[in-house]
Amino acid sequence: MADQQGPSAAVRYGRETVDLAVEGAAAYGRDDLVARLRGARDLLSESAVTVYVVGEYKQGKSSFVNALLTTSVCPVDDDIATAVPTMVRFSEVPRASATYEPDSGDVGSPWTEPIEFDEVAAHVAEGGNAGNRRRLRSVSVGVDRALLESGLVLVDTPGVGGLGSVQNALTASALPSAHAVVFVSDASQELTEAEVRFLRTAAELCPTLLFALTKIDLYPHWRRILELDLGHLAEARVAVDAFALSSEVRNVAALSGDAEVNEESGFPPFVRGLGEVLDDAERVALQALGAHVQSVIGQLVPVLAARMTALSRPEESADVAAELVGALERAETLRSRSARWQQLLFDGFSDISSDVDFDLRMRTRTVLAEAEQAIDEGDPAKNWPDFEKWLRSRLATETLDNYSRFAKAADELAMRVAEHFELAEAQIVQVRAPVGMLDKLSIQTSALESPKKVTGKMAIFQKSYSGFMMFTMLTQLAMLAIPSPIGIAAGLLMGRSAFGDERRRATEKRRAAAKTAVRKFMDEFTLQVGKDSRDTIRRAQREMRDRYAERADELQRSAAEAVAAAQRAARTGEDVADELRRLENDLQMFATLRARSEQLLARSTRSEAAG
Amino acid sequence: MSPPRLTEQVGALVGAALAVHAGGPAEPALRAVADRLSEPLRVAIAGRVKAGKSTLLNALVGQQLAATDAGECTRIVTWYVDGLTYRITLHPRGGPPRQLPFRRLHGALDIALDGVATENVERLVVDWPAPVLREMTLIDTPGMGSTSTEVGLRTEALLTPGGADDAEDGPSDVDAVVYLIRHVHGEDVRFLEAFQDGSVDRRPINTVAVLARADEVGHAKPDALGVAARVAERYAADQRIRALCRTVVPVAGLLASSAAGLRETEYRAIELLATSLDVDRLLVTADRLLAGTPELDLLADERAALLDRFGMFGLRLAVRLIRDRHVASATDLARELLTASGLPALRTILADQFAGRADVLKARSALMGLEAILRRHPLPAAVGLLHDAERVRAGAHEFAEIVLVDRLRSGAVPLDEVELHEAELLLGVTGADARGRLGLPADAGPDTVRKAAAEQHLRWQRRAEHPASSREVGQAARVLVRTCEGILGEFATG
Repeated sequence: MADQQGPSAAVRYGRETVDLAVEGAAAYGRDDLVARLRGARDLLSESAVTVYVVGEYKQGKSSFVNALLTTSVCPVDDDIATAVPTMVRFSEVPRASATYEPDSGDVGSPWTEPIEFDEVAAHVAEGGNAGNRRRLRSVSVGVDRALLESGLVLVDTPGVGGLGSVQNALTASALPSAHAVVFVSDASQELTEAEVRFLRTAAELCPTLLFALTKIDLYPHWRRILELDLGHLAEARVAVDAFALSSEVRNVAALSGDAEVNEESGFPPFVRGLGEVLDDAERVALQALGAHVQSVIGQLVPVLAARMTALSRPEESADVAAELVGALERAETLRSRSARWQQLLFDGFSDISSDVDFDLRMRTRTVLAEAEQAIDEGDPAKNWPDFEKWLRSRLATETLDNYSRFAKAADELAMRVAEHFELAEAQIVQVRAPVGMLDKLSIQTSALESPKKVTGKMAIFQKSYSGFMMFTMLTQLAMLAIPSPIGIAAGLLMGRSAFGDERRRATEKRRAAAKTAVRKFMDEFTLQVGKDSRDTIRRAQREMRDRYAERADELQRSAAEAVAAAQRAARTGEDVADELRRLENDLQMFATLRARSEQLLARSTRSEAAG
Repeated sequence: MSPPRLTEQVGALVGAALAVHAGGPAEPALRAVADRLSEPLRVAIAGRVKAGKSTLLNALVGQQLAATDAGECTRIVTWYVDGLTYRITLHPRGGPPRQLPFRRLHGALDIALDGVATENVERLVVDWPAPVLREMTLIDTPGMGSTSTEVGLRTEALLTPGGADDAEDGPSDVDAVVYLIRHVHGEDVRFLEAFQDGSVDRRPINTVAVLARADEVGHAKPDALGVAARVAERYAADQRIRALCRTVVPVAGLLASSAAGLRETEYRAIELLATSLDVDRLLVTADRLLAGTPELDLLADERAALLDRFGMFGLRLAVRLIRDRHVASATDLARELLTASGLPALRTILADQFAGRADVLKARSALMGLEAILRRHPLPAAVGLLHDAERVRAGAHEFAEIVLVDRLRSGAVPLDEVELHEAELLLGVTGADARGRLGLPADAGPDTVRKAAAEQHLRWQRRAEHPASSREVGQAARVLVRTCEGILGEFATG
């Protein structure tokens, strides 16, 4: 994969196809269809394949990214950790930029400025930016590496805070937009409970999981560890592709240029695995493109066919028009509020909303019970700051799980609506064409029949709604202060010199105050997250609805034009001959286009598509 | 001024309580408290799963006793007690203890549980004649944060006082804790959990944290231990950690345990490896070494055994030492590895800080146990005893010192950094003997000690009486004044 140059043959083929389709649609004045095709084309050209590298603190994430790319872009230190996400992408000249949070709160959007390539380490590592005082959000690095050339973007995530922290939940909330996740864990010990739990959530947010067992050069028993890890994952029902790797050996191999040593590092299979991710991403994009082209052709061909009938056999045109009016009616129904897909969408989202809401309530209730127990077991005067931190990260983890539930449900719903809509569409764009005539035109009629069931159709809709917006609440969670209960500080002054009962009474009082504070905070949290989650769901719903409404509009317009074409009377003989010839040509072109789009849909790997 | 020793005071109290409760339901518990006063100090080795607890235990005992493994291994709380003979006793949950047969597999104990399910075992007690166990009983614990929760709970039950939410209600079964942590990030929530897990009764005074698997902190590179030392230092300076333990020391447990039992055959094997032409290539990965080369005259299982015993870091270090002619014998190598492992530093701390204060720690545990029992079984005749116990607890200067260390560590006493350091020193945080407390060299003459003690005495006296001193500072200073008086009394002329 590493030797790929520029866009693959399949991508070039896809682009040509879509360009032809744009021409066709433009010729018939269908600006709406042109816009859709252009959008699909953009998807293909800007398709960055994002792969997140996540894992516990000090598992060798940065070393792994460096070894994979045989660079040293990610700073590695034995004591200091990565503090902000680092995005590594392709660039012919080394370059870097830093993105900062807007200065205060929500006002303004993040701003980006270029930084010196040599300064990356100072920006990324916590040593150069302790406590993230500079409010740095991420660092982007461009390097000249063949592996990145086909659009791969590697994101090295911060280890600061560990898997359970708020920062990490924030990172993970971006996973639905990732094409794959690489989970890094070293061979020094088997997976911990926290790691398994995180993997379970990650698997729901991004189904393509690569498991990288690092540092195998140091541990003779890494095979045992790998076996144990896979056992834990099987138990948790998390499907992964596992790779055992040594970054150190890969570096040795890079220095000596020894292919055998490289093989020993375990990286080549991993690079192949990554290549599959890239291929998959490309395939999905191409399939989406193919599906869009087919849908556009499916809408244009009936118009042409109807016109052809009207011209060549005026006696049949009334029948054809009547049938087309039926299709038009169906299209009108599809546009109406009471359309079946509208209901599906509406009901589906109400279900999701109540389900997610209930889930969130259950989760916060559990956390509250735990928090109260923790307060009972300790003395708030002594452990309040730690408790606060614990509570926050506990909530972040639960919110993330709740969010993954939403993401999954929304995904399934999108699939259901898509299937339903596809069926409805097939009923509208059926070609009631003068088949006999088409035979004469030596057009492959099969190519004009209604589109086949497309396996990858999900792709269209997955891309069509960017609706996976994380609850914004999570960003604020880190800053949200838990009101410090009054009287907690006073407790310290009393100290241990007081005697039994008095001391116990004071502790009880502090505990009660702490519980009240926590309950108040949790109420506020549930309220805000609940609102936030409902808003997110509504946004996703609206976006999906708008997308399909647009499609319904297109269909209605196509059907109406087909009716008009059938009803428009024929004029002089010469004109008729001309128009027939033109229609014939265009049908021929659309047939070719459909054949090409079939190929896009069917061909899965780039080598085949290129052939 | 020579009051009866604290252990004697407490011992007398326990004896009196025994007399009152003779034949009653509280007798067995009281007897256990009495026994505890005469036993060696109980030190638990605790920490998260896979921190290297059993490896450290082996290193401390100097033998490969506890079984170690790549996967999670220790699942039962095991006590290692000094004994005249080699014997293993199983204490089930309910039911009488019974002796178990055992054999040694490559040195490690292979214990057959005799049909008892792991979860029904309260603990195993291993009687083993070993010098270090005469000083202290060592307790190996299952790790916390295990993927199976109930294993971790077992450790919690050991370290947590009997079901109560306040340390007043009963002591835990252990007097002191060596707490193993691995390299975690300071911002990590688990960072503090890593220190706090499971125990309410841990105080900075009786806890020493060990940054375990120190050789791996720096990815087994030559300077790995330097990196580990830096990390440990940073931890030890962290206010939150200071409130939980006395200090943090880095220890490469594997290195120490292999150094402890280094055999002549092993030395020769490493020598062979060191003189092999391929050594640099072989030591890049564990797999390469396992695969070996025809030229290297070591069998496959010999190589595997070497790796298991020394780890990659240990082997690299040993090979370097032999090649650079720093060592020329098994004894030399063992010494060098031991020094590098950081174990001697931990031993010193254990000897100075735990063993040196064993009496106080034991008396404290016993007193807490006694009070809990007396409260649980109130008898009219024992009311006076409870008061006495409270008086001993409040009156013992040794306890006052312990409490003050806690308060200093938790930041409750507003002193500046220099004062804080000197106060801790004076309270015996780094060593309980008078010279250590005054920061004097071990060979300082009595006059020097007296002079230094008098200086400190005057200084804290002033601090105690100064009108601008806050109440906490005043209290603290008064305790320190008494400490100085104690030293002055000890070194009084004539």
